[in-house]
Amino acid sequence: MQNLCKVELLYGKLLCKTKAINQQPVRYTRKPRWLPKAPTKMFRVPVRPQISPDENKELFRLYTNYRTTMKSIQEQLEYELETSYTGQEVLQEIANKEEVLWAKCMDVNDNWNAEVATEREQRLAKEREDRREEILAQLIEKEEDKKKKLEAVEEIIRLEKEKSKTYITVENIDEAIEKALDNVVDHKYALDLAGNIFKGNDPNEPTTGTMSFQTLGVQSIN
Amino acid sequence: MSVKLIGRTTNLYGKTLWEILGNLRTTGVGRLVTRNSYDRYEEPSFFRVLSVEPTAQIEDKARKIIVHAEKIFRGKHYKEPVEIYSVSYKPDYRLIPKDEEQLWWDRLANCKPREKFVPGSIELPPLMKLVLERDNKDSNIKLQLKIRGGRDNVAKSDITKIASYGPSFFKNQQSS
Repeated sequence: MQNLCKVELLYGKLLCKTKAINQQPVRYTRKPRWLPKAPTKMFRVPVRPQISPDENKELFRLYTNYRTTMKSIQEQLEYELETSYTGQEVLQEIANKEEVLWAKCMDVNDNWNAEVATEREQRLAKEREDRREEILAQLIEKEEDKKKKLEAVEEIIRLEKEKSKTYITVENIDEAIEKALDNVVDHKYALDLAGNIFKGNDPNEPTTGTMSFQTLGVQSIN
Repeated sequence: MSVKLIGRTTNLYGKTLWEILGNLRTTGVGRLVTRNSYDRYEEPSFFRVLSVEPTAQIEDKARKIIVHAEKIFRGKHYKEPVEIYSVSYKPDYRLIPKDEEQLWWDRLANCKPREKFVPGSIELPPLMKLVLERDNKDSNIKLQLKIRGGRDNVAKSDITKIASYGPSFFKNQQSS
């Protein structure tokens, strides 16, 4: 009985019940069969049951009749079961019923499919339209980008063309040489801590103005 | 000295088969023996001993023996002899004295055979009848009652009788 309760509890847990319904702890109601008779019951003589012969006879009669009748009823039921299984008409009827049910199911399914199909068509059409617009927008954007880039490149080309007027070429190389020779630039100069530039070989005469340390980025040694 | 019996009571009174037959000359072959528990029947029931074969005594227990005997039960003489072994230890047997033997044979000859007729079929139970009507089946059928075949079962089915379905449906028929 305890085992039974345990099993019940276990199933309750397994089935995630909050509380087992049939939980009823029962202690052992009798000793195990293999233990000997209890010392207190050793000399107890059980009272013999007094069964009246009339009652006994009546019960015997009733049970005999009951069993006989039940057997015949069972036989009848078996016979009915057999006939119900083997009857061709019954089988046909069952098959027809199933067919009707199947057709009904298919009808419902088809309707549903059609419904879903229209919905899908609408959705796909909308998506296609959206996509087309998106692509168009992208194309326009790309076109504009291309245009801008082209303009920028043309600007560069224009500037370069302007610059190219001052380039030294074979024609005007002599002129340039002469010009360079005329304006000699002397890069050899010295700086003091105050940023004065001293050109030439005399350090006491500053030829040009002062330069700030910050602009030149010169660090003082001290 | 009066004997005081203690413990459980029993229906059996008398002697075991070995107590009776072991003390007789030629182990009582040809003698008649009856059981006290057969006294409940009106018809004579007894055994005629044909052969006796004792088995080993086990400690203090009542000795079992193998006895082949002609059996007459409730006024019916069995065609083949029966073997008594497993019930031979029961202290339930009684020897029929030689001068009474003829009386028992006379009783057997004079007793009329038992007869019992029971209905051969029964009406359908009410619910079953309703179910059959619902299913458009034949609900006027009768259920056949089968009698279980047994050596001492004398019941015979009377096909003309039909038992009605009820709590005491063939009480009257069985009284015979």
